[in-house]
Amino acid sequence: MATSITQEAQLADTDIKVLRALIDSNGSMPFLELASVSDIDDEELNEIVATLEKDRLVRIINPDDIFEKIITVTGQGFSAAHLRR
Amino acid sequence: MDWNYLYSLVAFVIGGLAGFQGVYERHKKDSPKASTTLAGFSYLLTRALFPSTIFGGLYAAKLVDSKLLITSLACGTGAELFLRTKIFIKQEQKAAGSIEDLLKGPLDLLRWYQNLLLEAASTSLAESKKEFVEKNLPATLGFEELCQRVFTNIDAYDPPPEELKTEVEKLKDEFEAKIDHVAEIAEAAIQGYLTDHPEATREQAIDFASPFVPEVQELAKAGKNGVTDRSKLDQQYRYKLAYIVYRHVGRKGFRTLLSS
Repeated sequence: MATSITQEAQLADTDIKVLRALIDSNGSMPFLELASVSDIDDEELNEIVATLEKDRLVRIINPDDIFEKIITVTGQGFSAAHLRR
Repeated sequence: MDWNYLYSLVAFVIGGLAGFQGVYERHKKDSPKASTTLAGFSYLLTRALFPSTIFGGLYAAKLVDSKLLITSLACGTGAELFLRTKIFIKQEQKAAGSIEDLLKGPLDLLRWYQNLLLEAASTSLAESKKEFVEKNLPATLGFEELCQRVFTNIDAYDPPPEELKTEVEKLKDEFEAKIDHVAEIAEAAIQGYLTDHPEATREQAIDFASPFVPEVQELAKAGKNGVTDRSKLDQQYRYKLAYIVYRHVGRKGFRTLLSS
Protein backbone atom coordinates (compact mmCIF):
# COMPACT_ATOMS: atom_id res chain seq x y z
CA MET A 1 0.00 0.00 0.00
CA ALA A 2 2.63 2.55 1.02
CA THR A 3 4.98 3.86 -1.62
CA SER A 4 8.42 2.35 -1.33
CA ILE A 5 11.50 4.54 -1.02
CA THR A 6 12.81 2.97 -4.26
CA GLN A 7 9.71 3.98 -6.21
CA GLU A 8 9.83 7.48 -4.77
CA ALA A 9 13.50 7.84 -5.71
CA GLN A 10 12.71 6.91 -9.32
CA LEU A 11 10.23 9.72 -9.77
CA ALA A 12 11.46 12.57 -11.92
CA ASP A 13 10.98 16.20 -10.89
CA THR A 14 8.34 16.62 -13.59
CA ASP A 15 6.42 13.62 -12.18
CA ILE A 16 6.45 15.23 -8.74
CA LYS A 17 5.42 18.56 -10.25
CA VAL A 18 2.41 16.90 -11.89
CA LEU A 19 1.44 15.05 -8.71
CA ARG A 20 1.67 18.23 -6.64
CA ALA A 21 -0.37 20.20 -9.14
CA LEU A 22 -3.07 17.53 -8.84
CA ILE A 23 -2.89 17.48 -5.05
CA ASP A 24 -3.23 21.27 -4.92
CA SER A 25 -6.43 20.99 -6.91
CA ASN A 26 -8.43 18.53 -4.82
CA GLY A 27 -6.42 15.59 -6.13
CA SER A 28 -8.05 15.63 -9.54
CA MET A 29 -8.12 17.79 -12.68
CA PRO A 30 -9.28 17.70 -16.27
CA PHE A 31 -6.22 17.01 -18.46
CA LEU A 32 -6.35 20.40 -20.18
CA GLU A 33 -6.44 22.18 -16.84
CA LEU A 34 -3.40 20.19 -15.74
CA ALA A 35 -1.71 21.19 -19.01
CA SER A 36 -2.46 24.84 -18.33
CA VAL A 37 -1.00 24.82 -14.81
CA SER A 38 1.98 22.53 -15.26
CA ASP A 39 3.86 24.41 -17.99
CA ILE A 40 4.67 21.11 -19.68
CA ASP A 41 4.00 20.47 -23.37
CA ASP A 42 0.77 18.50 -23.92
CA GLU A 43 2.51 15.52 -25.50
CA GLU A 44 5.15 15.28 -22.80
CA LEU A 45 2.46 15.63 -20.16
CA ASN A 46 0.52 12.82 -21.82
CA GLU A 47 3.56 10.56 -21.53
CA ILE A 48 4.20 11.57 -17.91
CA VAL A 49 0.61 10.87 -16.95
CA ALA A 50 0.69 7.49 -18.73
CA THR A 51 3.84 6.52 -16.81
CA LEU A 52 2.32 7.66 -13.52
CA GLU A 53 -0.75 5.58 -14.26
CA LYS A 54 1.44 2.55 -14.94
CA ASP A 55 3.03 3.09 -11.51
CA ARG A 56 -0.49 3.39 -10.02
CA LEU A 57 0.18 6.92 -8.81
CA VAL A 58 -2.70 8.38 -10.81
CA ARG A 59 -5.92 7.11 -12.36
CA ILE A 60 -7.10 8.28 -15.77
CA ILE A 61 -10.73 8.57 -16.81
CA ASN A 62 -11.66 8.84 -20.51
CA PRO A 63 -8.03 8.41 -21.64
CA ASP A 64 -8.79 8.68 -25.35
CA ASP A 65 -10.50 12.07 -25.39
CA ILE A 66 -8.30 15.02 -24.46
CA PHE A 67 -11.36 17.19 -23.67
CA GLU A 68 -12.96 14.57 -21.40
CA LYS A 69 -9.84 13.13 -19.85
CA ILE A 70 -9.61 13.48 -16.05
CA ILE A 71 -6.54 12.66 -13.97
CA THR A 72 -6.92 11.71 -10.31
CA VAL A 73 -4.04 11.15 -7.92
CA THR A 74 -4.25 7.88 -5.95
CA GLY A 75 -3.37 7.29 -2.30
CA GLN A 76 0.05 6.04 -3.44
CA GLY A 77 0.48 9.20 -5.48
CA PHE A 78 -0.22 11.29 -2.38
CA SER A 79 2.41 9.39 -0.40
CA ALA A 80 4.99 9.70 -3.19
CA ALA A 81 4.52 13.46 -3.49
CA HIS A 82 4.65 13.98 0.27
CA LEU A 83 7.83 11.92 0.65
CA ARG A 84 9.58 14.39 -1.63
CA ARG A 85 8.49 17.49 0.28
CA MET B 1 -39.52 3.67 20.49
CA ASP B 2 -36.56 3.38 22.83
CA TRP B 3 -35.07 6.88 23.11
CA ASN B 4 -31.85 5.47 24.54
CA TYR B 5 -30.79 4.66 21.01
CA LEU B 6 -30.26 8.41 20.58
CA TYR B 7 -27.06 8.00 22.61
CA SER B 8 -25.62 6.40 19.50
CA LEU B 9 -25.49 9.93 18.05
CA VAL B 10 -22.38 10.58 20.17
CA ALA B 11 -20.59 7.66 18.51
CA PHE B 12 -22.01 8.80 15.17
CA VAL B 13 -20.50 12.27 15.58
CA ILE B 14 -17.10 10.89 16.66
CA GLY B 15 -17.00 8.56 13.65
CA GLY B 16 -18.11 11.37 11.34
CA LEU B 17 -15.45 13.75 12.63
CA ALA B 18 -12.74 11.12 12.28
CA GLY B 19 -13.92 10.54 8.72
CA PHE B 20 -13.90 14.26 8.01
CA GLN B 21 -10.28 14.38 9.12
CA GLY B 22 -9.48 12.03 6.21
CA VAL B 23 -11.44 14.24 3.82
CA TYR B 24 -9.62 17.32 5.10
CA GLU B 25 -6.20 15.72 4.66
CA ARG B 26 -6.95 15.30 0.97
CA HIS B 27 -9.12 18.29 0.12
CA LYS B 28 -8.09 20.97 2.63
CA LYS B 29 -10.25 24.11 2.18
CA ASP B 30 -12.50 22.30 -0.32
CA SER B 31 -13.38 19.59 2.21
CA PRO B 32 -17.01 20.78 2.63
CA LYS B 33 -17.47 20.66 -1.16
CA ALA B 34 -15.90 17.20 -1.35
CA SER B 35 -18.15 16.02 1.49
CA THR B 36 -21.23 16.91 -0.52
CA THR B 37 -20.31 14.68 -3.47
CA LEU B 38 -21.98 11.27 -3.48
CA ALA B 39 -18.71 9.45 -2.77
CA GLY B 40 -17.59 11.93 -0.08
CA PHE B 41 -20.96 11.84 1.65
CA SER B 42 -21.05 8.01 1.52
CA TYR B 43 -17.59 7.90 3.08
CA LEU B 44 -18.57 10.19 5.95
CA LEU B 45 -21.87 8.41 6.49
CA THR B 46 -20.32 4.94 6.65
CA ARG B 47 -17.53 6.14 8.93
CA ALA B 48 -20.14 7.68 11.25
CA LEU B 49 -22.46 4.68 11.10
CA PHE B 50 -19.73 2.18 12.02
CA PRO B 51 -19.31 3.15 15.73
CA SER B 52 -22.98 4.06 16.19
CA THR B 53 -24.01 0.64 14.87
CA ILE B 54 -21.65 -0.99 17.36
CA PHE B 55 -23.31 0.98 20.15
CA GLY B 56 -26.78 0.12 18.83
CA GLY B 57 -25.81 -3.55 18.62
CA LEU B 58 -24.45 -3.64 22.16
CA TYR B 59 -27.57 -1.93 23.48
CA ALA B 60 -29.98 -4.13 21.49
CA ALA B 61 -28.18 -7.24 22.74
CA LYS B 62 -28.57 -5.83 26.27
CA LEU B 63 -24.80 -5.98 26.80
CA VAL B 64 -24.99 -2.41 28.08
CA ASP B 65 -27.92 -0.83 29.88
CA SER B 66 -26.35 1.87 32.07
CA LYS B 67 -23.84 4.70 31.58
CA LEU B 68 -24.97 4.90 27.97
CA LEU B 69 -23.31 8.25 27.26
CA ILE B 70 -19.92 6.89 28.36
CA THR B 71 -20.53 3.70 26.42
CA SER B 72 -21.35 5.64 23.28
CA LEU B 73 -18.21 7.74 23.71
CA ALA B 74 -16.19 4.58 24.21
CA CYS B 75 -17.72 3.04 21.08
CA GLY B 76 -16.78 6.11 19.03
CA THR B 77 -13.20 6.34 20.25
CA GLY B 78 -12.74 2.55 20.51
CA ALA B 79 -13.87 2.01 16.93
CA GLU B 80 -11.39 4.66 15.76
CA LEU B 81 -8.60 3.08 17.79
CA PHE B 82 -9.41 -0.30 16.29
CA LEU B 83 -9.56 1.10 12.73
CA ARG B 84 -6.17 2.74 13.12
CA THR B 85 -4.45 -0.36 14.46
CA LYS B 86 -1.64 -2.28 12.78
CA ILE B 87 -0.30 -5.56 14.06
CA PHE B 88 3.27 -6.80 13.73
CA ILE B 89 3.34 -9.89 11.52
CA LYS B 90 7.02 -10.56 10.84
CA GLN B 91 10.30 -9.02 9.77
CA GLU B 92 11.08 -9.02 6.05
CA GLN B 93 14.41 -8.76 4.27
CA LYS B 94 14.27 -6.18 1.49
CA ALA B 95 16.21 -6.34 -1.79
CA ALA B 96 18.53 -3.56 -0.62
CA GLY B 97 19.53 -5.73 2.34
CA SER B 98 17.61 -3.77 4.95
CA ILE B 99 15.13 -5.39 7.28
CA GLU B 100 11.63 -3.99 7.61
CA ASP B 101 8.72 -4.87 9.87
CA LEU B 102 5.66 -6.23 8.12
CA LEU B 103 2.62 -4.66 9.76
CA LYS B 104 -0.95 -5.45 8.81
CA GLY B 105 -4.30 -4.57 10.28
CA PRO B 106 -7.59 -2.73 10.00
CA LEU B 107 -5.69 0.46 9.10
CA ASP B 108 -4.82 -1.05 5.70
CA LEU B 109 -8.49 -1.74 5.07
CA LEU B 110 -9.45 1.75 6.25
CA ARG B 111 -6.85 3.36 3.97
CA TRP B 112 -8.03 1.32 1.01
CA TYR B 113 -11.65 2.29 1.67
CA GLN B 114 -10.73 5.94 2.23
CA ASN B 115 -8.69 6.10 -0.96
CA LEU B 116 -11.42 4.40 -2.97
CA LEU B 117 -14.16 6.83 -1.94
CA LEU B 118 -12.08 10.00 -1.69
CA GLU B 119 -10.56 9.40 -5.11
CA ALA B 120 -14.10 9.14 -6.44
CA ALA B 121 -14.99 12.39 -4.63
CA SER B 122 -11.96 14.12 -6.22
CA THR B 123 -12.91 12.90 -9.67
CA SER B 124 -16.46 14.02 -9.11
CA LEU B 125 -15.28 17.58 -8.29
CA ALA B 126 -13.11 17.65 -11.44
CA GLU B 127 -16.04 16.38 -13.52
CA SER B 128 -18.28 19.08 -12.13
CA LYS B 129 -15.67 21.71 -13.08
CA LYS B 130 -15.38 20.27 -16.60
CA GLU B 131 -19.15 20.27 -17.02
CA PHE B 132 -19.37 23.88 -15.85
CA VAL B 133 -16.70 24.94 -18.35
CA GLU B 134 -18.38 23.02 -21.20
CA LYS B 135 -21.71 24.61 -20.39
CA ASN B 136 -20.53 28.19 -19.89
CA LEU B 137 -17.76 28.62 -22.44
CA PRO B 138 -19.21 30.65 -25.34
CA ALA B 139 -19.39 28.10 -28.17
CA THR B 140 -19.14 30.53 -31.07
CA LEU B 141 -15.93 32.31 -30.07
CA GLY B 142 -12.44 31.17 -30.98
CA PHE B 143 -9.48 31.22 -28.60
CA GLU B 144 -8.17 34.62 -29.64
CA GLU B 145 -11.62 36.22 -29.39
CA LEU B 146 -12.03 34.73 -25.92
CA CYS B 147 -8.65 36.16 -24.87
CA GLN B 148 -9.79 39.54 -26.13
CA ARG B 149 -12.99 39.23 -24.15
CA VAL B 150 -11.05 38.44 -20.98
CA PHE B 151 -8.80 41.47 -21.50
CA THR B 152 -11.86 43.69 -22.07
CA ASN B 153 -13.86 42.42 -19.09
CA ILE B 154 -10.97 42.14 -16.65
CA ASP B 155 -11.31 45.85 -15.83
CA ALA B 156 -14.55 44.97 -14.05
CA TYR B 157 -12.23 43.95 -11.22
CA ASP B 158 -10.67 46.57 -9.00
CA PRO B 159 -7.76 45.95 -8.99
CA PRO B 160 -7.65 43.68 -12.06
CA PRO B 161 -6.10 40.25 -11.26
CA GLU B 162 -2.60 40.76 -12.69
CA GLU B 163 -1.59 37.11 -12.36
CA LEU B 164 -4.53 36.07 -14.49
CA LYS B 165 -3.67 38.68 -17.10
CA THR B 166 -0.06 37.44 -17.25
CA GLU B 167 -1.13 33.80 -17.55
CA VAL B 168 -3.57 34.58 -20.36
CA GLU B 169 -0.91 36.56 -22.23
CA LYS B 170 1.52 33.67 -21.83
CA LEU B 171 -1.06 31.20 -23.11
CA LYS B 172 -1.77 33.45 -26.10
CA ASP B 173 1.94 33.57 -26.97
CA GLU B 174 2.15 29.78 -26.68
CA PHE B 175 -0.85 29.41 -29.01
CA GLU B 176 0.65 31.78 -31.59
CA ALA B 177 3.97 29.88 -31.49
CA LYS B 178 2.13 26.62 -32.12
CA ILE B 179 0.14 28.12 -34.98
CA ASP B 180 3.40 29.40 -36.51
CA HIS B 181 4.85 25.92 -36.18
CA VAL B 182 1.85 24.40 -38.00
CA ALA B 183 2.15 27.14 -40.65
CA GLU B 184 5.83 26.22 -41.15
CA ILE B 185 4.89 22.60 -41.65
CA ALA B 186 2.15 23.56 -44.11
CA GLU B 187 4.61 25.78 -46.02
CA ALA B 188 7.06 22.89 -46.20
CA ALA B 189 4.29 20.72 -47.66
CA ILE B 190 3.37 23.44 -50.20
CA GLN B 191 6.98 23.82 -51.28
CA GLY B 192 7.35 20.05 -51.50
CA TYR B 193 4.27 19.84 -53.73
CA LEU B 194 5.53 22.67 -55.98
CA THR B 195 8.90 20.93 -56.36
CA ASP B 196 7.24 17.65 -57.33
CA HIS B 197 4.69 19.42 -59.62
CA PRO B 198 6.49 22.39 -61.23
CA GLU B 199 3.47 23.10 -63.43
CA ALA B 200 1.11 23.53 -60.45
CA THR B 201 0.07 26.94 -59.12
CA ARG B 202 0.53 27.92 -55.48
CA GLU B 203 -3.26 27.86 -55.02
CA GLN B 204 -3.33 24.24 -56.15
CA ALA B 205 -0.49 23.47 -53.75
CA ILE B 206 -2.34 25.19 -50.91
CA ASP B 207 -5.46 23.19 -51.68
CA PHE B 208 -3.35 20.10 -51.63
CA ALA B 209 -1.48 20.99 -48.47
CA SER B 210 -4.37 22.16 -46.36
CA PRO B 211 -3.89 21.01 -42.77
CA PHE B 212 -6.18 18.06 -43.30
CA VAL B 213 -4.27 16.22 -46.05
CA PRO B 214 -2.25 13.19 -44.95
CA GLU B 215 1.09 14.61 -46.10
CA VAL B 216 0.80 17.56 -43.78
CA GLN B 217 -0.29 15.32 -40.96
CA GLU B 218 2.74 13.11 -41.54
CA LEU B 219 4.99 16.14 -41.52
CA ALA B 220 3.41 17.26 -38.30
CA LYS B 221 4.05 13.87 -36.73
CA ALA B 222 7.66 14.05 -37.86
CA GLY B 223 7.88 17.44 -36.16
CA LYS B 224 6.40 15.80 -33.02
CA ASN B 225 3.76 18.48 -32.91
CA GLY B 226 0.84 16.09 -33.02
CA VAL B 227 -1.67 18.80 -33.79
CA THR B 228 -2.29 19.60 -37.42
CA ASP B 229 -5.89 20.55 -37.26
CA ARG B 230 -6.09 24.25 -36.39
CA SER B 231 -9.65 23.99 -35.14
CA LYS B 232 -8.64 21.25 -32.69
CA LEU B 233 -5.72 23.35 -31.47
CA ASP B 234 -8.06 26.31 -31.10
CA GLN B 235 -10.50 24.18 -29.13
CA GLN B 236 -7.74 22.91 -26.81
CA TYR B 237 -6.59 26.44 -26.07
CA ARG B 238 -10.16 27.64 -25.51
CA TYR B 239 -10.44 25.04 -22.76
CA LYS B 240 -7.02 25.84 -21.31
CA LEU B 241 -8.01 29.50 -21.13
CA ALA B 242 -11.31 28.58 -19.50
CA TYR B 243 -9.58 26.54 -16.79
CA ILE B 244 -7.10 29.34 -16.09
CA VAL B 245 -9.96 31.83 -15.69
CA TYR B 246 -11.89 29.36 -13.51
CA ARG B 247 -8.88 28.79 -11.26
CA HIS B 248 -8.31 32.50 -10.69
CA VAL B 249 -11.81 33.89 -10.34
CA GLY B 250 -14.15 30.93 -9.72
CA ARG B 251 -17.56 30.30 -11.26
CA LYS B 252 -19.02 33.76 -10.75
CA GLY B 253 -15.93 35.48 -12.13
CA PHE B 254 -15.85 33.04 -15.03
CA ARG B 255 -19.28 34.24 -16.13
CA THR B 256 -18.24 37.88 -15.66
CA LEU B 257 -15.07 37.54 -17.70
CA LEU B 258 -16.28 35.31 -20.48
CA SER B 259 -19.88 36.33 -20.96
CA SER B 260 -20.69 39.09 -23.46
